[in-house]
Amino acid sequence: MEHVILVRYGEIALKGLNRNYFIELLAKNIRTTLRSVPSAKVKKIQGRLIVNVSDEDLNRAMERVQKVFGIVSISPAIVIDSDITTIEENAIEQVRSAEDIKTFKITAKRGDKTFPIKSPDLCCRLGEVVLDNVAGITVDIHKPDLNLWVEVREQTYMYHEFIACNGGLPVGCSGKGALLLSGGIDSPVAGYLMAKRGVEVIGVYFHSFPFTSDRTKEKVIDLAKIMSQYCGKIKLFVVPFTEIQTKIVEMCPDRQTTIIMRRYMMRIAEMIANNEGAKAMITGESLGQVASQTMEGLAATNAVAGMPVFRPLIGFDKTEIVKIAETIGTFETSILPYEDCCTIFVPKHPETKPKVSEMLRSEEKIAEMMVQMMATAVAESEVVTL
Amino acid sequence: MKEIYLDNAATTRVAPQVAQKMLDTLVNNYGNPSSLHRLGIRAEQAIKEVRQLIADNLCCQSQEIYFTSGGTEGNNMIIQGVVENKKRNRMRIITSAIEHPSVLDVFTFYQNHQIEVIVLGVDTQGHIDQDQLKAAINEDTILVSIIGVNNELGTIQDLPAIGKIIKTVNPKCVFHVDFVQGFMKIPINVQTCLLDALTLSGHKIFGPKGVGAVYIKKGTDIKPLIRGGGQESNLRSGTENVPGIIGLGEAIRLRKDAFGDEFEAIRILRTAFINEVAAKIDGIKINGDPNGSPYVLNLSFNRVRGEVLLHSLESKGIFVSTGSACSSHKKEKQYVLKAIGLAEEYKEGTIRISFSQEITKDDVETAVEAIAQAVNSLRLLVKPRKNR
Repeated sequence: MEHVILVRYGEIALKGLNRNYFIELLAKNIRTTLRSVPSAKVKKIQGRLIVNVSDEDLNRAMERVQKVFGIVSISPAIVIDSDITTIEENAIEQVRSAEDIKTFKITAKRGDKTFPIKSPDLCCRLGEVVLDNVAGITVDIHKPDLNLWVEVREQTYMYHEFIACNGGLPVGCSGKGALLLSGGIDSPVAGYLMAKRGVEVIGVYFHSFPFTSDRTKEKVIDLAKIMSQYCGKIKLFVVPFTEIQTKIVEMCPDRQTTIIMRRYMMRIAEMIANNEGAKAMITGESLGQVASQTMEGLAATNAVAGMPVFRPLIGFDKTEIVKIAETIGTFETSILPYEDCCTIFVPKHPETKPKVSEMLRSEEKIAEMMVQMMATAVAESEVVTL
Repeated sequence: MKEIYLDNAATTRVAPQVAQKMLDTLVNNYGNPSSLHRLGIRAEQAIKEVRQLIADNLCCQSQEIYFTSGGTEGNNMIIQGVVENKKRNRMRIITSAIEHPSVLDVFTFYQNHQIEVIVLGVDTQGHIDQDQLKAAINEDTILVSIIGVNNELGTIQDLPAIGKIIKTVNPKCVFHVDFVQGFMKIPINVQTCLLDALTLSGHKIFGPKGVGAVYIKKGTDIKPLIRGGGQESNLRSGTENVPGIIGLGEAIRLRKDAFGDEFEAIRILRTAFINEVAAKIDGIKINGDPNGSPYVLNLSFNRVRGEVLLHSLESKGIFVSTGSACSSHKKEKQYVLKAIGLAEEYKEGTIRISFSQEITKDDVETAVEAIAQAVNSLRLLVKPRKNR
């Protein structure tokens, strides 16, 4: 008897002629997440993926597989020969070893039409032998304590647990996006949501030492690491931003520094995105959350971007964002109090209704030197792969 | 780039002789002091010598010294040990507003548990209000805990005077002093200070982390925090940290001249630092008591953020602190500066310089030059810009 994890993919099954591509990609992503579980082997069967795994690695493997996007649900299952006596014996054993159950049900599916017993007949037959051999138990086909699934294919899979997963599409099938990762609560969630729709995420973090400490950088690396459980491998660019930030604060009007800074972040992120073959940028912005995220503020930052900017959190309340951050496990890291010193640059009265024309006028003085400074920042970025 | 380490109040570099002694203990004197065989006895003898050494430096008996894992455990052990032992209906405990978090947090905990807690205010230099203390002590007062040398300001409390006030009003009240920043830097005599308990730590004096000790006067009833095998006269169970204790002992021995020549040398260094800073930078404030511990210098600069200054010095190989490293995890960071009434414009721009005998006059010059540069360039970025 072998232990496997049955992997069900939802949306992918609808993808017509490209279906195989999606399934291969999903299998590859599962293999990647199971690198550290050497006993695990991924294979395709009709309509499903199967992960073979040793008994002792089962829980560890399930924990990892659950986080891969493109999976609707998984079930830990046993695999046995498609032979009626073996099936009966195992059905009895499965029900007998289940704890705290009073009622059960058998759901049998005959996928292999060469198997002599039809699905409804198999249900009845297995129900009977279980009733005969397990004491103190009755059938309840509506609300059973235990629903034992028996899928007869080339081999037979038996399971009773359905673990819901995150759905979405396999990471990588929707191209690459550059995520502006700040170390706060929102941006990791934004990255997570785009990865859920199949985007391969690269991270861009702007490091302003000494205004933000090296601890903040460590924190961002930690966040990317947590995200990588869902998003797969993440290439993180640590962009040295001190000189640009200082220059902006020095040369531009107080009220506008935040927006102008964000515009330069966007420009640099786009340069990196282009270098990396990414087709979009991703931010954690949420409408109205802070002064720079008013509609006018977003428009002013958006104006510098040539590629689409995805803002998956745009309509989310902070509480909703926090909830997701807690679920994916980035919240605790995000709230570590390191970056607060950056607030020396937050103007007392930030512009909430910036106009692009005004920004451009303010940027005139620095635009020329910024060309070189931005190129240097990109060239001197440190790349961390997680 | 030469590293100039000016954060010795946070922790110190272990002296090579200490490390050597510890290594030797780890591989050669590895017995468990509780073992009955000779390896056990050898280990026990070694820690006994250190116990005596500590007792000699505090002017008490070696039976009154108990080893701990450091300052935080020591403070918890005394405060919780005294309170838990009494369990009366009416209890009052007193401390000051500028304690280390390992004292203040325990007091806050008890405040939420129906025990009357009084927190004494301090003057602008960080000395506790002795009149307030006198008025606060009553029959129900079971404990007064005061920081002997403040970790952020260096202010030294007048312990003999405080001891006298306490014992005059209520001789049964336990007087505890957190002496982590003072041990082997400032002389102390537990008899003349009328102390019942004192906490010290190893890693502030070039010893290892994870070891410390408490003095508990004979006859003082304390309930143990950690129960088990009955080590340390049943007050602190757990196999003794023998290599740590030996390291602490060696660190103490190495500091036998500290109270004379070193104290004076550090005092000169600190004065030089202050003079240089004052000459080079305007908008500064020196916090604490000029006659406090020379090992600590607390400086504020207006229009600068302490944390940013710290990082900018760090990039030049100069390591300072923005206050207590132990409270940098906390939300309420600047309660000490608040207690001495430091003006708001200076509070944000505060750093702590803490010296050791490894620091030279040249280091001071280099450090002050770096601070001046950093402060000036940081101030440019936050200058008031009315005309734009």
